[in-house]
Amino acid sequence: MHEDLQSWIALGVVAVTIAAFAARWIIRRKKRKSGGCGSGGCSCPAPKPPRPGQPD
Amino acid sequence: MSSPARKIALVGNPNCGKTTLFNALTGLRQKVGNYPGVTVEKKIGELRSLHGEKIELLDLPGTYSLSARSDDERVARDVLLGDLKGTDRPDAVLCVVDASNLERNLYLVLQVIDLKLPVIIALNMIDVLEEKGQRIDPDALSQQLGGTPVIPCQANQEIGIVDIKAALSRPPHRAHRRWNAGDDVERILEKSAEILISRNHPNAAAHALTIISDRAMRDRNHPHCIDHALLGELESIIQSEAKSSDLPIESRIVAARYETIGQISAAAVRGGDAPMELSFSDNLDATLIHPIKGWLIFIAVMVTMFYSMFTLASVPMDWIDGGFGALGEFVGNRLVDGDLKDLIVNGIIGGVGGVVIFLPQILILFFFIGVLESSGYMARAAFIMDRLMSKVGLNGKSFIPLLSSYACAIPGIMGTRTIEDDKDRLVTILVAPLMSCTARLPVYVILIGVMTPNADAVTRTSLMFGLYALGTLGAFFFAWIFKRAFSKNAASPFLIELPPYRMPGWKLVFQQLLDRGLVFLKRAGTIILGLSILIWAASTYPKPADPDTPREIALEQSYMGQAGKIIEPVVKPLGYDWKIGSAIVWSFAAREVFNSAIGIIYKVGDDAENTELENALANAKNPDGSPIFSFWVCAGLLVFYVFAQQCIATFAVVKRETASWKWPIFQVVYMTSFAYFAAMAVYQIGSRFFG
Repeated sequence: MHEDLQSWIALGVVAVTIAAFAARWIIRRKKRKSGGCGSGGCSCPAPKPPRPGQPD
Repeated sequence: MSSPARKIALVGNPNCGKTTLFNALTGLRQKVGNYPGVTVEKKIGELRSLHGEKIELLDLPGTYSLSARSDDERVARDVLLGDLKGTDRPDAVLCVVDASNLERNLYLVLQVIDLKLPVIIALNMIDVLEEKGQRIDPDALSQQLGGTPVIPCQANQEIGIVDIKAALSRPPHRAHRRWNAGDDVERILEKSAEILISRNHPNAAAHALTIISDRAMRDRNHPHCIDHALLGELESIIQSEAKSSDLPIESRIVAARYETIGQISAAAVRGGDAPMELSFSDNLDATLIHPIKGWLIFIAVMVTMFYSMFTLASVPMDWIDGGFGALGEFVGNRLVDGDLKDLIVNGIIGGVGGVVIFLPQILILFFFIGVLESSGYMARAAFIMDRLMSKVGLNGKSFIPLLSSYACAIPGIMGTRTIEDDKDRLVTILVAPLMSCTARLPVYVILIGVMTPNADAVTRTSLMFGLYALGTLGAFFFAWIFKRAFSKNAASPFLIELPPYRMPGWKLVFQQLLDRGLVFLKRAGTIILGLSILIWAASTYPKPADPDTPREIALEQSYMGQAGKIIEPVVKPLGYDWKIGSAIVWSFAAREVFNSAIGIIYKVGDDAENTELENALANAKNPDGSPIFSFWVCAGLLVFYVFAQQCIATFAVVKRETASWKWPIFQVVYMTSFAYFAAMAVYQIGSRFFG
């Protein structure tokens, strides 16, 4: 692949990444304002920790 | 036009199987939100009665009573009284009762009946009761509760679900109050209800009973005290009508309820006449919660867990490293040199691979946590820790959120909702991120490896354990300080169930392992991938005008290099150069990105062929030939990562849970400042006096 084309594609990937982060931030901000349960970037599966002992 | 759905509230003690029953009744037809003004989860599900009628099931927070000490209990009470804005009073209540703990569970049932709501009882865990050689006669129990329907079930096996749906389909039955605390108490309740009726208060009798039986609502200094004018009227009734007694009126009501519960239990429970013997769990607990032996065993369990992480994980980590290396070679051989090849090989594969390689260790950590939870040991660990927590003024209830924070601070912080005292809750939220979360694990492992290149697994395990202990001690230290600064209250009493020991539920453990693994990989494939691309871009652009510029100089001239040079004076006292400083700044977005960033930065240069990150860092040299990642630089970095608050997601959750900007900002400032100075002290003292 031509070096110039590589540069343009790489720049395109970076631009798309920046746009994706911006879109994610906007969507999460809207969700938080509407009173939903979104925590903003949480990667953990459960909102409440499991209680020790028997499952609830 | 279809009639509105009937609304049924689901209540029960914690650990009675309420959520299991909720899931069995509603399946996937659930939605989760929040109650307004409080950080309590609102969970609503839908089901159809046997006649096809739509029923809305509201899963209320688990609570032992409606005395409203915590937000959870207050929400449950307010929903049942119809006082919560945005939530209709339920048409009936489905009380889930743990059959193996009937007397304790009946207290809440009696309180719900007191509120004049129709009640259906799901008598859950009957198998556990039968294992003890006892059984409950549901008809006798129903009769004792004034005809309240009692449906035996086993929610986890979905036994009795159809019968419960049938009971929900029938017209609701409303029982009368089951206890009597004396004629004077009855007069007080009647006259109090009359006052509330005169003030057009809805559900006057239920509210009157709630106010009279809850001391906090009649305490002028308590934040949840009722209107003082109304309080004055009620107080004069109590003063004029109450007989002289050793007990205040609210205690007499509690005593009357328990007396009734004793009578109900005697009439409904069969069997269990054999003399009580100590169970296997009781015998094991004699050792596991012993003040000295219990601690030693707890430490041994933790050390075993960390040792396994270093030894068992090495083979799969080599596979992953080899896999990413092969992938990088494959792509590299197919593309000519250029920006895209550099982005894919060094940016994406190098950046994401530098984090994914730690998947085996994270899975081992969660495997141990799952087994310890499922076997019942975690409750014992919480009990042991309560002794320590109370010395810094914290409630043992804080241990559960802090323990969860070892996985991730976010569910830990959200778990503080069960802490009744607001100041205790705030203190727990502020210190939770000090517990070393799994995002720090990749950073710890790589730095321990660079710091101790020839060390065996035992040494590395000890260092890892030391880091976790350091974070825990830091949490206790700051909790002690904050407790004195924010709250003069003594620690509130700690109540926890110690469930019987049992074999871990392997299916559940492996299901959780799979879930955690997928979450980790999803994060690697999204956030880490995105940040790796941005880090690559920042370290590549702007490109020098002369294409033959050596890569080291090109890196210095990039955006990252320029920003790094600006912050270099700040990180110099810690022994870091601008490259390490840049990696630290990037890792404020996500801690494990440190590995990605440092990997991208240090793979640039003459060692670009060297694919092992640990070797690349160990070989990185200053202009004078000294190692960049010396022992004390690594030690200082580790201390920095133990204490610094470097998680935007945690910041957002703290802001939401404390409903302010002040506390998350304070948290970032105190943690990062302490991390900075602690790392500086370690580096300066260590390198000056210990070489």
